[in-house]
Amino acid sequence: MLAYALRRCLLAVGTLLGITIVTFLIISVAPGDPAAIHSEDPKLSARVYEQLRKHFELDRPLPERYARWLSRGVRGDFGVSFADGRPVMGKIAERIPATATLAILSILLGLTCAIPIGIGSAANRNGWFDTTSGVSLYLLYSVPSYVAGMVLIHLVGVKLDLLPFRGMTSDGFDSLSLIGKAFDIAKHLALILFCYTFHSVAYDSRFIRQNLLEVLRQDFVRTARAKGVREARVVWRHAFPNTMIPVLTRLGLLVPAILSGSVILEVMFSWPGIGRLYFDAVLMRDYPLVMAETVLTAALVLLGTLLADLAYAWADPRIAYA
Amino acid sequence: MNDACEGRSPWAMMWRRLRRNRVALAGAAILGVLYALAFFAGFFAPYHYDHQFRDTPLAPPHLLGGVHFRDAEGVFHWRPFVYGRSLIRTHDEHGEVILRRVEDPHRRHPIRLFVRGDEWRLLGLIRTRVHLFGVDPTPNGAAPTGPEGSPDPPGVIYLLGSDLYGRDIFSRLCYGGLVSLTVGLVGIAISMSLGLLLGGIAGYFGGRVDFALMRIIEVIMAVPGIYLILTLRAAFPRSLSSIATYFLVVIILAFIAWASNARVIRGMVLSLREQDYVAAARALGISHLGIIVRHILPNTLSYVIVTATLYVPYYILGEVALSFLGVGIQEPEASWGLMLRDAQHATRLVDNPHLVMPGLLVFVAVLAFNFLGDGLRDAADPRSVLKAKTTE
Repeated sequence: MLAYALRRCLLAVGTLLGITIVTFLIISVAPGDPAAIHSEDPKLSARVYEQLRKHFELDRPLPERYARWLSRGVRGDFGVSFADGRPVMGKIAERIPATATLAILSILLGLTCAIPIGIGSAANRNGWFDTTSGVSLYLLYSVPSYVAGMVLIHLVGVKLDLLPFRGMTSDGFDSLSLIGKAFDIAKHLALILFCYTFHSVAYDSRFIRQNLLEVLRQDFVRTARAKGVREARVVWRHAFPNTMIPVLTRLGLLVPAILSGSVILEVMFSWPGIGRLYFDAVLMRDYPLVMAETVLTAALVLLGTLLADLAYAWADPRIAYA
Repeated sequence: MNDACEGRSPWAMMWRRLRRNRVALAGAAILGVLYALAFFAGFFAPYHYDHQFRDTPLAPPHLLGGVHFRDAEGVFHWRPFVYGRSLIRTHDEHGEVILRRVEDPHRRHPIRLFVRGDEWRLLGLIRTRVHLFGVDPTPNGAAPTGPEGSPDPPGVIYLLGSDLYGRDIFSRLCYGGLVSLTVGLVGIAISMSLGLLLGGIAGYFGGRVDFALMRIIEVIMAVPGIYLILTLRAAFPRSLSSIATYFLVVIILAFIAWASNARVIRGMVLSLREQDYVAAARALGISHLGIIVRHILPNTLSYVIVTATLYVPYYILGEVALSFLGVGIQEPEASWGLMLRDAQHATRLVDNPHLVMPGLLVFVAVLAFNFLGDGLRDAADPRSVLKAKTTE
């Protein structure tokens, strides 16, 4: 197990290195360097442009730039943002709370909805609950999250004027009491959280249902029933724990989701999260920021899948990693 | 041996199972309609996608009570018609003067079939001006006058309303479908070919080739999709010709999607290459590539068909997301994502709910592909009949 984990980590380091090279190459061939964007003012002379290039270290050859970036990066220094000269890590860190709140709540909410729905519909297959939830979730699954967001902003946000849909806090947030603050954030969270979550509820509940149906067909379930165990106990205690794998996969995705967020929803709801930061960074050719975010998220993706794989072995003793 | 035992090919059995699945057939029918509208957009759309009627921006859909049979005097007409719209000055609830567009009962524009209008090309080749439907530009059946002859703006039919520039949304949806819907087909063709070839090579040869390809796939799959898409998009100039943007979007999306396809294909090939017929083919001296392409990959075909169908929505949604964020298809071209951008302003959407139509079409298209894909998956699964028997 330990040897397996170590081997995976070693591979992950290689993959990560590959990602840095690929990303560095892609953004380096991109036309319109940041110096040009910053010196868009035509009155700015060629000399200023050259100074900017020097300042951003764009005048050096590509391999040298990459080597410099890497040697600083392994020490945790991802440089300063081209946009405002602030350290990249600081800019990312201040965006984490918004995205992480959303991601963690979304996965918790998603699983607390999906698990009972999945179990409920599998336990009573083809019953009214299974049919109605199946049809409605299938329809919901095909709704793009941004279309849902648009319609919700239109209906709930503007027409009914029930919930705010811009940003994470209202004006005058600082003057609110602690409970008022929590309530204010909760109100801002409601719509974007729904849009962020409903896909995974639709997908996970059908997935859990499918897995549970397979498990319910197994001999040990029949044995449990034959012993006279109550049906609820058969489903929840005997069968359900054997469908934990998808839940673990989902939790494994939680790790990177904390840092990546949804670009389109964050743009739509003006959410001060990381997805929007990334989008702006790409548009502004803010290379240090793009590099740092790509590497950090990719590292978390790799970590998350590794943790999920290790958790499989814990959940299912038949899985052994040699 | 009697007739009842006559063998059926797996494809025939798959087709039989699919035909019994009404939901899947409904999905196929919806897709048939959508693709027909897209491929013959010029015919079904009454106007060219960039035909602007500056006098009537953000007009409400005629389909919602705008198509009449009975005119203002109560006379019934067999041929349905729409009214021209005029500007009038009124006061809103605060007493402010506002301009409003109302139907002008004196200007009646009958709807006709097979009318002549903006020029378009059938399948990109044959020039024609015939459109399925349209309205007379001059009211009440008057003879067409010169460009300066009539003081009124020309009559326009807006089945689903108009956008900010007075362009017909229905027409733009048809033309936009050509972009948004074919992105899926072209993208799948690229990513599946890449996935089949590279996955086949990795699984067949194993060893170092396999290791190297798997690492590349891991690199692609470890970066969150939308990040990689945006970064790749940034590597190309912001403004490109419309056809270049289209292919750029397709290729970027396909470049990311082939990785997961290749990984699954590789897994299947790993077990297929141990089959006796592969050993036989090798003994016959067939080249490696020949074995992969002719003998191994055809066995993954049912997976490929099912996955391809279920993957098309990824491309449609990807194009919509990119265009929506402003880095995909650009004005004045039409695409569903680009049109959805117009609905982004919340307050504008409140007064003009018809702007959300492209979103509805995206939903319908994705749903139809899911219907068909799930039906194909059930049909391709040889156990599905057996399963149905044991559980029902």
